[in-house]
Amino acid sequence: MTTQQPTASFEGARSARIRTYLIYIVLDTSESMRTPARGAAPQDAPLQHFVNLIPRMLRDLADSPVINSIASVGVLAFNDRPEVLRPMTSLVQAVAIGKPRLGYGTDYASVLKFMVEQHPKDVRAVNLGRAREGLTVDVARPWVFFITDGRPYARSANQETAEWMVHRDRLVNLPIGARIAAIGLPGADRDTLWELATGDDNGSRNAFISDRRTTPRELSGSVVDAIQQSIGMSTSAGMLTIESPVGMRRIDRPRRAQG
Amino acid sequence: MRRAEVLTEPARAGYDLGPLVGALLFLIAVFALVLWLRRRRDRVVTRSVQTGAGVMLREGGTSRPPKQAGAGSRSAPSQQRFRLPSARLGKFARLGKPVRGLAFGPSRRRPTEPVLTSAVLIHGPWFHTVYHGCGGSGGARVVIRAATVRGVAHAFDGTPAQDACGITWNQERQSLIAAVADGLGSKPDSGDVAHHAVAGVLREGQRLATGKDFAAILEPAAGHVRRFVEKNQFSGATTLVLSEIRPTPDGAEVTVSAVGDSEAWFLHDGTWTVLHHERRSDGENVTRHLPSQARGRARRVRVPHGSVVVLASDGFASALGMDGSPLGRELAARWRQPPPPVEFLAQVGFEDEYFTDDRTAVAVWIR
Repeated sequence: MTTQQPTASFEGARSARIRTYLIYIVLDTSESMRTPARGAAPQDAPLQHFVNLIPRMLRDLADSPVINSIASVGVLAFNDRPEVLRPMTSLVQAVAIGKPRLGYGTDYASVLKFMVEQHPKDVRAVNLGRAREGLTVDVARPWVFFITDGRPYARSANQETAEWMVHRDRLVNLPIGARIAAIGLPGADRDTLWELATGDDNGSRNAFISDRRTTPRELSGSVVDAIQQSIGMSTSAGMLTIESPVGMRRIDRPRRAQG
Repeated sequence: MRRAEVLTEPARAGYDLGPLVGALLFLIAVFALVLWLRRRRDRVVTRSVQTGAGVMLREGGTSRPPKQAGAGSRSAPSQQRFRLPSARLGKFARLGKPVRGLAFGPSRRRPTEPVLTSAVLIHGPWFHTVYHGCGGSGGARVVIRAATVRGVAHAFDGTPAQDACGITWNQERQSLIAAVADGLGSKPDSGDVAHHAVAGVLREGQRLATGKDFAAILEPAAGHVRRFVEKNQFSGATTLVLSEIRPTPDGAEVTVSAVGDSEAWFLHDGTWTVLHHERRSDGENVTRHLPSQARGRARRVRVPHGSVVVLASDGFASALGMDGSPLGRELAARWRQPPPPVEFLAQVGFEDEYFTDDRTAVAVWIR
């Protein structure tokens, strides 16, 4: 047996591998999300839309054989503090989705910190749940779909960027290496969404804002499309940015970040 | 004397039940035969439904291989049937519906292996495809199976499969050349690029002269891909694994060269050995690819008679492992002899919810 050129180590081929993905849907349930736009009916408040949409989104995700079989989805909500609406589980498992607790703040720092602490537990649980004889389970870097109006506020004051950015950085840097797609509704703070999102080296980030004409159903479909895009496909350099979902526009780099 | 004759007359004149009983017995026999034939037919139909033994991977282990699927066993094909999902199976069994399409009868003959005389390129964007044939002659002979299966993910999205494979015989070098390409799902034109990459390998492989290094054909093949992408302004990329299998009196000399996560393996004596892989441990679906990376990783080995050399896209190959994966164990039992082509197609399309990508495999038995 001769080798013409040095080859990669064959250690990786010792066992068959299955790849699984963790997807976090994070929903801002602060008071501002409960306030409808001027002139709109109370039931048109963004939060109510999303609370109604999450079961639909999960059903749409479960329709896809890829996401249904290889991905696990967790739903978190946050206002003054974070809470788990649906624990990180495979979509084939029937799990009740909790109703978000009422709260007033938009504490980015607490939810990001919570996710940093929660991720290793979720990885362990998914590994255990999917373990099969003769197969190694690889858990890919998680995707976070963060739906917010982009106005961090905690303890009766606006939350400074530096206060939550430290937790965001821990979440997106290795070993977790999360990729964040920030999705805002019309009127959301674009700069905050851009800073929260991750992206590629060219300055393009997964920060999106939905059009005013987009219906809730379209918005749900767009998020599902974005999740489907984000997993499963072979790529050349890692899926760092997703295409702009239908009914949403990608947010440009803010002026203060360009300097 | 006369009296005696008179006394015997009434007995002869009575009813003769012999013919009647005979006719009755004949009718009963015919009825029993018809009943037996009908029951036999029903049993064959039911058995063809119930005894599916296709490769089906489920949590907790593998499906059991057929008991008599030993090497060279003529009875093996009759037992190598597709497994249907159990719910449907029960329904069909109860209703006695014939599911004959993919069930082989016990008298089924082994397929004739057509000699590979010209290049064969398989790219099934919308359907499953299988090829079978042979190359070489006498004691230095190879039997080929090649199949491509559109993955569940693409089928669900209504998008084309992006794998391709090809084989050709180089008469001058007396060797088989095979290639498998897996287009990158993140780029829409990757299927066309994979198809073109395999075509380039076959073209270069067919005209490769004796004494030339086989691994060197990767570079011109990659050049074809690069020019094809640039000319058509395609958004596409592909992995590529290619191999030359030259039968020898001892077995075969196998050269493999590759870019990306398509893999090459060989199976001998129930053990899988990897020839090329670029697996990542971080769970990322990132791979080297053409046309950006044209530097291949090459390897040459000698394999003995009875080996099976396999090139495959990661949709199939990632289910193989050197430590004994469920698929690896199953195929090690079933690939002692080349399976019937349709059986091979079913094996490439094994059932497992975790493996949703397109699958392509070229398997070459060294005889």
